[in-house]
Amino acid sequence: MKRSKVRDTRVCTPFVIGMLFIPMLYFLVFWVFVNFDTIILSFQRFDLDKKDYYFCGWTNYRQIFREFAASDGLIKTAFVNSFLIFLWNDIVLLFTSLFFAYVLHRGMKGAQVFRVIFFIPSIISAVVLTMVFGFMFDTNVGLFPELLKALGLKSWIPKTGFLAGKTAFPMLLIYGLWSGIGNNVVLLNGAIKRIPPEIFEAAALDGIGFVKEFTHIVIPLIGGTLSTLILMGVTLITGYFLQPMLLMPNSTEVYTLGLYIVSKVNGQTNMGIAAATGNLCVLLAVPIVLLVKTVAGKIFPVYEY
Amino acid sequence: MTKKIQARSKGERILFGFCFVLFSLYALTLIFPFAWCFISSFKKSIVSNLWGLPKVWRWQNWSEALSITVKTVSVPGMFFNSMVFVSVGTVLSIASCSLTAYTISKYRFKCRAFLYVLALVIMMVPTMGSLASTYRMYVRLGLYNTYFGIFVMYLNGFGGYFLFLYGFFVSLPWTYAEAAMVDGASHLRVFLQIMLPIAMPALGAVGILCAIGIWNDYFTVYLFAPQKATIAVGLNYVQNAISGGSIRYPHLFALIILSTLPILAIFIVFQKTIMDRMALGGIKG
Repeated sequence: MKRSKVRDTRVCTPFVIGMLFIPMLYFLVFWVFVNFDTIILSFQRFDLDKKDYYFCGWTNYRQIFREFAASDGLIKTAFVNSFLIFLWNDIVLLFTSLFFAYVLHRGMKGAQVFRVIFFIPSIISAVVLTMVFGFMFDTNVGLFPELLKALGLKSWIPKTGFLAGKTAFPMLLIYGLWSGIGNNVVLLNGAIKRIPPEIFEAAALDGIGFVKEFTHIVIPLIGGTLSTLILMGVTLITGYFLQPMLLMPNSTEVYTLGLYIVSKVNGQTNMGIAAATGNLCVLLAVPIVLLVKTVAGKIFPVYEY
Repeated sequence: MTKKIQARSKGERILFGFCFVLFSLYALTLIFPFAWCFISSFKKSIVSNLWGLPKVWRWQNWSEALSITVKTVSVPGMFFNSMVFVSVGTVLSIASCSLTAYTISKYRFKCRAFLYVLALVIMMVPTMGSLASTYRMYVRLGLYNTYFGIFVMYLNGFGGYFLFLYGFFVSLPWTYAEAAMVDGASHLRVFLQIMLPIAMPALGAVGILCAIGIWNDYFTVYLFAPQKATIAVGLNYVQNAISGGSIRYPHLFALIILSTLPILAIFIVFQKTIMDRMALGGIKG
């Protein structure tokens, strides 16, 4: 009798409905309706004379595929860039951060100070970060071009500047590394800290060195965190747009799928194209998420300890 | 014995020495631009005096920066908008996530497991796809360029802070609620007067992260309410308006520092809380 009463305290349908009403309403409007409407919008175009949308069949999709097939198609650049950013984030940035986090964990001099300084980009707005990064490489006022000039390497400075032309995309990747390490270091440091210290002590007694401890103990035991971070990186394929938009606003070389959609939405007359691209992005992202989840789970299995 | 265990080989010492230099240089690249912006904000012009200290410290640059108006929004107005969005947005966001996290973690009902999985799916499915439709809906409903339209966006109970709070509420003992209910307390009263006060440290920590996120948010306001520009959006406006005339680089630098100061102040005060909360990240492993 008493046991059933205890169970009952966790059951109260009116309370549950009341508590979840607003969040569910939000979900229905901003997720269910909006995604359904995206499908409809992807088959529509805006009539500038009538100032209304009209049904256009597969025209938007056809235009996207035509642009993709063209040698200088913007969406092709966006597609390739988005994948390169994903790979850069999941391989270079993640493993650089892991190395940083491990070295700091091993008790390097000033580790705590470094950890705090590295974290600073995580709390500062992308607008400010892209601005100060841009100033560093500005050909008129930047530190880096000035250093090159002082070293007699003026010819290394591109005529269009570092943030345009051929150097624009590599600079975007460098920006991602520069601004992204700190956040990953804190997350990975937290994961390394959760490894029981007895494991490290036993390894040290067995004479295991820095590299073996890193590859045979640290990486396997933080597999869960690594898998999650790799999986989160997939969201960049469609979600990375703010940094190129702010850092290189006039550069088509740095277009990503996200930036492509934003540019169409901002134009307001190409909303159908934006919606169609969005739908294709979702179709693209779902199998990639599942594939990356499976592969990451196999490479980095989660161990209980 | 411990010292022997911890002693580093020669190779490790070289590696650590190299890493120390590398880390120091990286740290310098993070600090230097802000120090340079701060010092340059007092100069008359940066082109004529790029690296040196200001010949005359022009404090008026800062007051001039505060009197700038771009695209009909003044700089004090931008700070005001930031404050409004941070205060209302943080409360709405944390309240909404608390409702879902508490209910799904503590109550037994059909679809409970489904809602938890749904929250995870929502995080993984790209929101960029539905941007065009959301924009059209905002224009049609008259929510575009309004405070209310932005406030509504913070009501996402399945947002990024859901998992943080879910993890906290799951670990909270239910015995407090049972004891209160034996004394006749309603479910709502248990939530408001017992569970929420216990959860305040966690809510506070998440609230700090949320407030920082909203203060730094550029895109939401840029796309859905450009006339209600916050300082994050306004900085971009000011940068684009720079000319040789009334708006100059030192003004922009002053605003960069001014917009960063509140965040740095919060970070200095709550550094441990912020970094610990980030380190947990809701990730086990």
